Amino acid sequence: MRLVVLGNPENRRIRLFIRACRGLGMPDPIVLAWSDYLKDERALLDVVDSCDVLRIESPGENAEVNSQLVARGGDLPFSTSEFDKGRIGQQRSWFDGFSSVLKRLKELVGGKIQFVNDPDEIVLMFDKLASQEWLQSRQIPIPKILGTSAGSNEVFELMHRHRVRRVFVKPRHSSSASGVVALQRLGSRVLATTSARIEGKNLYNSLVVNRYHDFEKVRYLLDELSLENLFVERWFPKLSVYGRIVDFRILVIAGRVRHVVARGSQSPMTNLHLGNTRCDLDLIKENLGETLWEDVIQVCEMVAASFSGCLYIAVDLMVSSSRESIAVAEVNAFGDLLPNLLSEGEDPYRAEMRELIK
Amino acid sequence: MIEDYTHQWEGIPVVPFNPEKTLDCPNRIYRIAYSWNHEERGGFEKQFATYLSDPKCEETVGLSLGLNDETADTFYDDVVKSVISNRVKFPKLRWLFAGEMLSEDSEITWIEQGDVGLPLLGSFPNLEELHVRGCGESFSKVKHEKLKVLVIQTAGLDKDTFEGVVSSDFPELEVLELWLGCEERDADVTVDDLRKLFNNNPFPKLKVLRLMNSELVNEIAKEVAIAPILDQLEELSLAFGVLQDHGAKFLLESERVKKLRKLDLNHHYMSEEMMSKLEVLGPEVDVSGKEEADRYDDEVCYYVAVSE
Repeated sequence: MRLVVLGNPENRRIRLFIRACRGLGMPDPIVLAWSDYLKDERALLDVVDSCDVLRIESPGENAEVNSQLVARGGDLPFSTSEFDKGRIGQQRSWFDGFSSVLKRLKELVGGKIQFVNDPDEIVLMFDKLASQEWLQSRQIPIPKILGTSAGSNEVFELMHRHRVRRVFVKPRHSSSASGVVALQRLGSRVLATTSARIEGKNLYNSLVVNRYHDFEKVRYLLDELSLENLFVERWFPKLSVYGRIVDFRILVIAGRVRHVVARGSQSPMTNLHLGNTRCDLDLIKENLGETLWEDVIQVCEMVAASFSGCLYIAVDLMVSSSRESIAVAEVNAFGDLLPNLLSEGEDPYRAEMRELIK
Repeated sequence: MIEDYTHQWEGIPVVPFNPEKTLDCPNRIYRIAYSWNHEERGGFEKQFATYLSDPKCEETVGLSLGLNDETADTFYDDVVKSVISNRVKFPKLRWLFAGEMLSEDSEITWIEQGDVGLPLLGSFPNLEELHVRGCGESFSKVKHEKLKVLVIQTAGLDKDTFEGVVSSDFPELEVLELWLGCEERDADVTVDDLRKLFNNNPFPKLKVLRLMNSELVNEIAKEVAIAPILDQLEELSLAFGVLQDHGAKFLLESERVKKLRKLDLNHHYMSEEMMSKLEVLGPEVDVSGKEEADRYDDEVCYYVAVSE
């Protein structure tokens, strides 16, 4: 079997993936750079004949590729200068570009080559609203979606109508908690907890969690984020264990739950890169009890079954603070970068490829 | 930093109340709370009515009051008032937690408590432990013959509440835990106020004093280290605050502190050097939760553990 990987060659994902292939005695995969493919799609056609399987990797963490995808989506990309580094925006045009590129890719080589993960399903996972609705249609528990919003007025109106004081406001096409706001309102008080930082007129991703208590600022934040399509869901109160708020990143490979990370945080944002920590999973499992953990596994496997074109899928899963129920926060197409995490002695890439060549 | 719900009191399990099941009192203590997962159970009022109608209600030994409602216009004071107005249904109540919520249920400053002194304690003469979480409470002074444990957790304790507590008559009080909080959350208890407690302690049986979550902890450490109150204490906690070396050094130099059984300094900004000195001081010392100050340009910020 010969693999081709479409990815950013400088990225550690590729390095770790090649290492996994070698460990299994497979020939090195052909690495096709996103930047080359975006310049000329024939770059893929040239290798299709000599390969059987295509793995599509994240185009992220590469400013040039990012700009090209945004441009494909019909926007003028932010500059790559220091000023625009980490700036929030253009997620919608990035998604439009990315989805059109993947659709075209499937037309181009679909039928000629096997996909590790199906391009259409990858696209679906990058539409956070559509993928949650898809899960819901398959009877998979998710936080209740209250609606979409075009601005702060609509967000507050939704909260009022549903009589809730806590919601999560999420950009439809973000990744890694970028632009996500945990919003609370009670009477004249408001609190927005978010990784977004208002600086001048722009919003930037920050590595610390910011809290805004001022109505004017919260409105500005929500209005700016609304340019990127927002949806509003109920705040699912997450499990607290040992003083940390915890959720789970669960990698399902070939239909089976494999790698699990319990992510602990002192804020409602549990994404690892926001200065949070991996918790001791065994301790937490013991704390939760066996029955609940079996439910967690069952839900993750249902999620995987609803994305049947994918060999692997990363599920972000929450257990409620009351320990009574669980909900899927989101699914991730490229959520298998979990360095140094082993399941049955295998890292995620090795586990995926061993299933592939089975 | 508030770790978890209470899971047991004196060996009695504390469990979520399910209105569809009958009560098992006194073998269980229930937490009545709005549940995200069971909207059909309704808010506090509805569930509490069901609780009251159960024949076992009068066997209740403990009660935890959790999130009241998910709607935008209810205040926590009403919950406590409902319990007070039904006091005849709880003749055996010994343990009460008003406002038992984690940050994922409600931020502590959003829990608006009322007067938890005379109106509440005066209504339950058999109460041995009262825990209150939330801000904005007041405390009118009260005489209570049985209260052993009083815990008030806030992000900003006001002077009136503090004065109400220390001018109350609690002959049996063994544990006093007050979270003082920070100025930004309207904390206005001063070190002068605390000095009165340190020098003229009104609680003859007090063994455990916890002055937690305080921005003033460095000044408090200086005062408390020389205070007569320490001679009767077994345990002192200055946890969840912003303790640094310049405050901790007074603890280190105190003969009185040395004689304590336990010293809790969890969540602090001390140096490793100070931590190791404290660890060999004598008492069992908790110096876990070492925090690093946030730096914004020229400004260095120290935060108490619970301020939101």
